Amino acid sequence: MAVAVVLVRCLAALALGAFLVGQAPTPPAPAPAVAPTPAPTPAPPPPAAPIDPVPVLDATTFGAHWQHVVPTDDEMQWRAIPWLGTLAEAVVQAHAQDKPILLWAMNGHPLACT
Amino acid sequence: MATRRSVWSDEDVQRAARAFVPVADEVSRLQRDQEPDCRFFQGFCELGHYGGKTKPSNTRQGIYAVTPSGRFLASCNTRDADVVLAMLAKAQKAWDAMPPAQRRAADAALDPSAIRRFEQLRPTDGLVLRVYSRDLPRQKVTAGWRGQAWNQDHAWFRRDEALAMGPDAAVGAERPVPDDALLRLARVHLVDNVRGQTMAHGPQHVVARRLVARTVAVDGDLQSILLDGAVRIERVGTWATRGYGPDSAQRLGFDAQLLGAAKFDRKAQRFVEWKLLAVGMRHGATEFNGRQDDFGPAPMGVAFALQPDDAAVVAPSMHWAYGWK
Repeated sequence: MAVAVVLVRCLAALALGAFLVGQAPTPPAPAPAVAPTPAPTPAPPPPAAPIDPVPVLDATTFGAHWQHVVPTDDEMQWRAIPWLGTLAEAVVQAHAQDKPILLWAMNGHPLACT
Repeated sequence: MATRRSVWSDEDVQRAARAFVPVADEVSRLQRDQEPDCRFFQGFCELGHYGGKTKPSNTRQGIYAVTPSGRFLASCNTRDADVVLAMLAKAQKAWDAMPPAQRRAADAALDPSAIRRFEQLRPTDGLVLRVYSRDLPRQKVTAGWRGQAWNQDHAWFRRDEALAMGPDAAVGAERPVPDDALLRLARVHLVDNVRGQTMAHGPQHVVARRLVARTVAVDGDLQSILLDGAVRIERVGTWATRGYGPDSAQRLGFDAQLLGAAKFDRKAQRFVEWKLLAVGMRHGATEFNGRQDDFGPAPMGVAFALQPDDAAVVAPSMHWAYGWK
């Protein structure tokens, strides 16, 4: 009888142990053999159909295109102001001439591309 | 860039500017770096119109009037000529009221020779070009200044690159423009900056390029050269298409024919004339190039012309893409 009780208790302890083991933290899953693929970048939309015809560039159109792209004298009026290209030059010149400095400072050099 | 016309072409502004030493410069470097001229700028820019501002950006761009000693007089950032005139009048009044000792220090406030700038690499013995970009005539014109916009830049080629562009001085002789020089021209200068700054292309975005120089006439020391070629740029990626906007999947490109004429002085070993046009269809937009509602495809032209030797020395706007030291 005593043996039977001990046996039952042992079985109960084993069952509890198994239960407790079941509650233990799950070990980390093994690393996948292949790194997960990042989400694909969505493809940009294709260019729209052009409204304007493709411009022709040859000996007969060169002059007209050139005249159109290069600024006119009127558009270059702003260069009538004798802009220096660097602040340091202006500091030295203003010191020598006893004049204040007029600085036009932009993201992108105003005399280049702004 | 609209300021060029709306403010600096105004005769009253030009008259008022005569009392000043006028200078234009790039603000990002001035407000970021620690060179003497940058520290000079940082000494007054926080007193100006954008002092303390951090959103949507911390730019300190604008129009400033200061003394040669670095004392702030007035500032603004506007496309309105009247506002600039008022600012200049205010600055002039402050200058006139200032004791001479405060206007200028005993010595100039900084020594330009102590400053390192890309401008110092200007290849005076090479090929220095002005670059102009503009939309070609099109059916649908954007309203306002953006529809009339044009922009400019500078393109530099070192002496060895320039000399390597010239074919033999025999009519019919041909030579491809050196690939490094052509690739740089395409990456840095065949960009859509008509309405504003944009980014340089990477070498991988220039998917086709060809530019051949051919001698078409020889007259004494003067060699006439025809330039003929094509460039195709295709770029796909993720970026914003309006200022401070969210990134999204985008594409842009420029499919251009190239044609030009140059004259090379064999005695002086330099080009004395240079006209090169790139004409074709562009598409796409970038964060600050003003194309957010105008992705195209639409026709665009880019012109390259010799810069006069006496012009202000200004570096190519994306000079960091040159890789020059």
